[in-house]
Amino acid sequence: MIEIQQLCKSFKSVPVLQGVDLDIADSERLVIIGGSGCGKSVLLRHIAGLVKPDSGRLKIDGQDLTPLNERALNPIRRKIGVLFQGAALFDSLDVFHNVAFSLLEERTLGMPEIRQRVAEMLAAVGMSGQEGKKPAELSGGMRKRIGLARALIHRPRIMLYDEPTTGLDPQIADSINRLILKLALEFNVTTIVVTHDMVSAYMVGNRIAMLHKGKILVSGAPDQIQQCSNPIVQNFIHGVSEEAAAMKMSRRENASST
Amino acid sequence: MTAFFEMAGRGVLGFVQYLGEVALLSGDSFKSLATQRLRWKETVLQLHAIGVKSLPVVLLTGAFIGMVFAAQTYFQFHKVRMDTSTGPAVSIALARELGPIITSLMVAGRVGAAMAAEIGTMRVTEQIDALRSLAVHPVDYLVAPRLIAMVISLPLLTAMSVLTGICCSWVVSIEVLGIDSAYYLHNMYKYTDANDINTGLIKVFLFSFIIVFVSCHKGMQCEGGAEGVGKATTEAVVNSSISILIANFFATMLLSKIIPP
Amino acid sequence: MSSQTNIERKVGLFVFLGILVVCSLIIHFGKVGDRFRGGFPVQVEFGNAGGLVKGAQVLFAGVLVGKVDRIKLDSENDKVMIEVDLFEGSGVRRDARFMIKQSGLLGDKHIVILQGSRSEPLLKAGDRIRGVDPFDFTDMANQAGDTIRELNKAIRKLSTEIGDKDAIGNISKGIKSFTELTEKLKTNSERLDAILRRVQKGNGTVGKLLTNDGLFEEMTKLVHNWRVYGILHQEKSEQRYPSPRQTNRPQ
Repeated sequence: MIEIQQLCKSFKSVPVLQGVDLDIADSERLVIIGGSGCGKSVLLRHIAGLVKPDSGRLKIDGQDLTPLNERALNPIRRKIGVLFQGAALFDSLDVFHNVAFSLLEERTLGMPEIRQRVAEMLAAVGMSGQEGKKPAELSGGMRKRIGLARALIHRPRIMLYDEPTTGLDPQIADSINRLILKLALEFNVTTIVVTHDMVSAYMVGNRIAMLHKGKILVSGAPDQIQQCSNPIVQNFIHGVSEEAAAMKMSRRENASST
Repeated sequence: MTAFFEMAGRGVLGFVQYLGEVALLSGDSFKSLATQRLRWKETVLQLHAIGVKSLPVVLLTGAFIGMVFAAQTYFQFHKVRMDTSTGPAVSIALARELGPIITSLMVAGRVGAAMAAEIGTMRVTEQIDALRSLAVHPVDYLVAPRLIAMVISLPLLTAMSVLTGICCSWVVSIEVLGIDSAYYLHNMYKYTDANDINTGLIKVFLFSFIIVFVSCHKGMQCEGGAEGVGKATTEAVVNSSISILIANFFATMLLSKIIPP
Repeated sequence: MSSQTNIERKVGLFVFLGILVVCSLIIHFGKVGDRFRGGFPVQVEFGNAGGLVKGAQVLFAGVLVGKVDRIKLDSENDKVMIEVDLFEGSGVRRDARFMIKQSGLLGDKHIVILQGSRSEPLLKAGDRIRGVDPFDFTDMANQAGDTIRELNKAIRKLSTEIGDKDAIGNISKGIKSFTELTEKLKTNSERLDAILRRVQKGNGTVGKLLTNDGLFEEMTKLVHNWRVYGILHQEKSEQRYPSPRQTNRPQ
């Protein structure tokens, strides 16, 4: 259960989030959509505990994250897995050490168990037997899969995806989407995806929320969003640019006036 | 006029903020060293990157600085027929100033740049955030091992550089300049003290903190993609080199009070 | 994994070599080796250490036979105790003279030992002997200081003894007349100057007298004649005063 209340954040006095209210239930698959630079990645980073809000509350399982310092956040972060936009694999480590990172850091499991867990996880993301490769040798899609494996290996209850399909070709994007869905169901994790890819949004989410000008504009099931009457939402999900929308509007006005 | 004061004020505030950030990072690092376990594997890797890999360049600079200093000293001392005093002059200068400074500057250039670039790249590619999201404090994982490795490596590198410098200056003095070897070595032995070596080592111990904190701070604060990384790298080298030179002066003055030369 | 162990091996070697270099530098230049060289302590008493430092050399017949180990002030006796570590078998005798000398352009001080007589026993550990203090300018200055102090004392004594007002008045009167006298002398001497100048040129009677050699000879002859024949005649004048021609006239 994630509760967000009146979350505000500015960077260098430019407001990015201006009072976000959002509740996310367990096992929910929420997709946050919105234009580039609307602050959806910032919102995700708040949920991951990577950014401190200027004001507002952010509770995960009833615990408020906002007053906690860097080290106190760590127990909460262990409940959360994050897949970053560029996968953010550690360049200096091979695939095995990337995936096993959090297990090696926790130091509770022995090496044979860690090896087994890594092998299982790599199988789950379809990357079996790639343990020895370095991140530089992998393609974008493969990096995302490894990033996914790394985020999932300590069995988080919440998974956050920051634009998982950006920069991938449609086929690979599709396979990543399927993977997200599969893992969400398989491991029963709360999934929050930030994207502007509507194909991905419809495929993965069972709820879609649109962030606009630092606030949640609408939120609802995918078909509700599709039938939403709000023109901003309609323009976004149908990929109508602001210029085109303005032209259409003026044309309609012209038509009505004549 | 107000614009000038505004600019000056911004400069001062910026500098104070910079000092504050570096101080915070050092505070975090010491806290991490005191309370968190040290990642040995990372530390060994950093010892390799800082110590082993800097060895050739450090020895080479030490050798040539020693040789050229021996030659210049000889040219002047020869005028007053103090040829064999070249030995102690070279050994003391190398142990106290040249060895520590040249080694620190070379390491700051080589390793400080690498640190800023590495951490800066990790920062702009969200690897630092990935670390944090995996419940690992970046200071624990990135700064603490580098600090330990630097604090171990730099004094060792300095000592090796000093020894190489002394040996090479001896070869040049005897073989090229024709100074009497026995008196050269005797005078060197007689006038050089363990405190000369200690002073140099204490100073580089201080410099190792400067290099790590300044460079890691630049890396951590890096913004704006590849260009930002480049900028951070340059600034890390410039700032740590200048800080070393300034700190050297004050350390020398302070140490002269504690350990009389 | 093998690259990891390889790195570990290199790091281990680096750290080992580095520590070795650090230690050898400190041990070598710290002169740790000298501490284990067999020696025995001898205390030498000096009035002035003359800037000697710990570790300074001790030379005996030009051979290094020890080091200065400790220098401490003996404030009770106004002396400096210098503990010298002499090497075993250096054969310095008990009445040997220890002196502090300066060597080289760098102005370093060292101790030189001049051997004593063969009849004396050899120095042994814990012996206390007196060193020969160097003559130096600081000493001389001190002596001068003593003299001045004595002089001061005398003057003070004088001023207390003739402290009554009459005496001071007399003294001041005396001084006054003395100044007047010197004033007069000055004017006189100015006049005398003018006369002397004339005399030098050979002007006037006195001048001619002084410069005219013929006149001098005439005068000597006259005096001679007076002695031998005239008013200054004494017994045996002829023998006592030979004819002036035979004397060498002073130039």
